[in-house]
Amino acid sequence: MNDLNILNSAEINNGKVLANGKPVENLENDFSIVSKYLYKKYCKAYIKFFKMDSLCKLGFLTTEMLLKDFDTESIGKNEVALAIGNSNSTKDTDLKYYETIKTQPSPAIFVYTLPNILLGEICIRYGFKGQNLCYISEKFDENELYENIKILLNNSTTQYLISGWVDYISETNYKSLLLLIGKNPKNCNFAAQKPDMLNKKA
Amino acid sequence: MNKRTDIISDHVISALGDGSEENFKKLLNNRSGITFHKSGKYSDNTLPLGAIEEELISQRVNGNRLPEGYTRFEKLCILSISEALKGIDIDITSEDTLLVLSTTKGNIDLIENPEMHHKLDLWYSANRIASYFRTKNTPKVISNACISGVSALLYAQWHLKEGNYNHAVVVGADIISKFVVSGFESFMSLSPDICKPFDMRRDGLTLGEAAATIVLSTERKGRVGIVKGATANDANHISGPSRTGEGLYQAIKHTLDDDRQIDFISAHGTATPYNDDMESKAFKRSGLESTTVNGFKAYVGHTLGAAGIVEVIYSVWSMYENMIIKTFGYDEFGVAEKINIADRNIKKELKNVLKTASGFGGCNAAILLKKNE
Repeated sequence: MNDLNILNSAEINNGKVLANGKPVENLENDFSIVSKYLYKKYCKAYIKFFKMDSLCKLGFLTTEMLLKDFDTESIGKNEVALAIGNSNSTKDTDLKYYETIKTQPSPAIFVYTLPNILLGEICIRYGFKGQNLCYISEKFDENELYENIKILLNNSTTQYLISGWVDYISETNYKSLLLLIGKNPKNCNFAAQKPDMLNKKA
Repeated sequence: MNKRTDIISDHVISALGDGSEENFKKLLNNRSGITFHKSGKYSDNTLPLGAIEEELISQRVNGNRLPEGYTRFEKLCILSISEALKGIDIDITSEDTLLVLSTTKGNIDLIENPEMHHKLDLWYSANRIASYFRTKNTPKVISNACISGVSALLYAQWHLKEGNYNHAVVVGADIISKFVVSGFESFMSLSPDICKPFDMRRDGLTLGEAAATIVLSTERKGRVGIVKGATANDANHISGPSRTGEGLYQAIKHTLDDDRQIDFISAHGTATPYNDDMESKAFKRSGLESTTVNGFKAYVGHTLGAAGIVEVIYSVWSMYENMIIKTFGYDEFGVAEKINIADRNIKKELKNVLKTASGFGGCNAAILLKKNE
């Protein structure tokens, strides 16, 4: 953690929203209410948002919070990579899609039954064309997060990396943490508190 | 950092049979494993599918005395890993060995039974497989749509180059299910016939299933190694390929040095109209228009999370035999940019081979394989 160059962090944890480790919103739990509220308050109009499934909305909103004060137009977008994991993959949407099979299978839902679509949505929103790594683990593991960040930065031309955890289980159970990492230490301005999801003792 | 990562063993079970050698023999004879399945289990339509013969699975289950309690998906992974580990001196239980599972949907066939829903988690399957082999390390799961296999190989290679492990067992698998078949049907992306990669009359893909394993090592030597690779996003559309081949072009650019001579490209070649056009544009932009390209999808179907591993294995065996395999299903040229499609088996010294993949979510991947002198 200490040798990582974290520029920003954002977390959404069942209605609690944190930016750089500091609480910025304390909302009701229901994701449909939280997502509408955050979209209105923090996002520029983006019509594709309304087509996304809940997992993608969660990842998208966390990214909007993460990059709120970051000038994405000033950086080389081919060198912005994403490495994001979760535990439940797209289970919520899988079950929704499965319901449609019984009558009329929905291509609009089926496309969201792949977890990496979340990375695709973020790339489309910002024009990021770097590496994509999408992984599934039983639990969020801080060491795994750092390990993935390290191997990606060491083995690619990545200059900026969005890395973390975006896990959607249900309307009242969802969690995300995204970090913006810079390869070059001179850009580091992470003076904020450690994100809630990371071990503060480390 | 500059450790050599060699492929020291591999195994495929697919519609072409059980074992890499068996698979490659049929590729050499240009025989497809895709057969027509009457309406019922997966679809209301008669469909060509690259299905694994159940007989092959039960033979292996008995041969390996595999205990009960594993799902069909997990059995295939366990059998493929078991076969790949035979005859090599690698301890899968060692702290030096990493296990990586590449899959898009794992046990998705079990979604029909609510009592089985806890088995849908991809990490659940990975843990089952890992506990069968008694691995010390927690297994990793990569799920990156149709580039999963190539992405998992790169992920494993990065770990090996960092010195985190000395060996990696990378297994890729996906099975045919009503869930996935209905989804591709709803997209109208399935061909009524065996798919026709890069052909003028191509009209969609053919689904298949497979489990395939590659064992990578920095300590043992193999005849072919992974040099490097990269992934890249189109940043264009979640379900349609880029019109310019941007992401694939970027992935190739990050993979190839300017001066490297590529002897053959194993393309993704799903045989959907847009995908194959996109690939032709990316190859042209990369200056690879004269390099011979083939596609393996009409032999075994599109095996999703297994495809990258399966096709890297087929490419490696092509390198052993110095033979580019004909693009089955291809007859008449019909993609946007003029590229060089293998329309027959071609005998050629194969030293450097590029494997590419592209998938939903706008993801693309390229990986460079090199024959060791």
